[in-house]
Amino acid sequence: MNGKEMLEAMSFVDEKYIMEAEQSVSRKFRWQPLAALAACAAIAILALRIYPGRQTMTAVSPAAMQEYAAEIRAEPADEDGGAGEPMAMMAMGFLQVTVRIDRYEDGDAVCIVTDPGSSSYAVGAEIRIPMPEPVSADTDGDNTAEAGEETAPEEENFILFVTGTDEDLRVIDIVPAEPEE
Amino acid sequence: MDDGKIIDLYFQRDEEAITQTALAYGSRLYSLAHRILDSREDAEESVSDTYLKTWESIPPTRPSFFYAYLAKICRFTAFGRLDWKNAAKRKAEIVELTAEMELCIPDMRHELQLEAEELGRLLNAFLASLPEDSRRIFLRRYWYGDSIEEIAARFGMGQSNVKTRLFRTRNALRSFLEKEGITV
Repeated sequence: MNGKEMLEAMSFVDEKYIMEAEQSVSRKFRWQPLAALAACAAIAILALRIYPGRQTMTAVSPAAMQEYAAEIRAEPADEDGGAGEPMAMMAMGFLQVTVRIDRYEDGDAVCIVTDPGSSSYAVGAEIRIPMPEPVSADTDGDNTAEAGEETAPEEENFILFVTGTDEDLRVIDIVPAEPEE
Repeated sequence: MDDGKIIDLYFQRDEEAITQTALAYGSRLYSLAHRILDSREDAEESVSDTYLKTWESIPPTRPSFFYAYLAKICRFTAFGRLDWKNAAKRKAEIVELTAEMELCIPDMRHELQLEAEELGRLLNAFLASLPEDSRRIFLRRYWYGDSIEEIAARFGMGQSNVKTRLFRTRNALRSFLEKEGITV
């Protein structure tokens, strides 16, 4: 017996094996590439949440924001003298950016970033928040300025908690920043 | 036309059967014969002989797997035409396949006379014991005569992986033949 005979004897192989080898390959399900793809997608989504990379904000509910801001200010300060629950918001994964309201314009509060916090905004960047009625710390004790006020508001910093992507950035919360000593 | 209808034409002794066979499988049979013979003329003649032998054998035979039936005849015919000395001179692929197959033979120091058909029976028993993937790769290489590169592309794996699988299967065949008493 030699290699030639072995090769020729292969001709006697059962036809079912010949057909099996001829048919297209049935690929086994391989989960590793899918898992890698899912991991990449998760990282990309996380990166977009951490680095929104936009200088404008949209999709804010002005009424809800004003209401919530008023509630926050009405709450007693915590033991450290902080305003409300920023740490809790941070723990929930929202980005924090401190802004000063520069002016009200066309129904928007035009805010200037004073401290980028955990966001990627630069100091001095402009953020517009739809807000027909200005939010401001009180001079008259009712926590809001007069509706329709178009003059520059008082110097006061607010902390915005934001989330979302470039296309769908949302202001989750707004609280007055703790005044500097 | 599906295989059943072509086979029916053979049973009806309708020569259209050969035309339809050539249309359905002519190029694949030519490719198979050409891999063995490495010659266009010889491959074409092998395919023509395959049609003739098929015409002579159906009926009474009614093949379960028509293409496998044709390919088997074609392979037999091509090996019958193969001039081994010239193939060696041309360094044809078939010579490389032969050298690889010799690695499966337990003891080359002794000539063992074994009917090809009996060896074929042993090969079938061995193939039945293999995992499907390994069996397919083995047959693509030593039955169809595919190159390593072609097998790697077909199975979506690296060439080194294919070589490793073939090496292991050859060793397994060698062990199998030893157990079957093919050593002298």
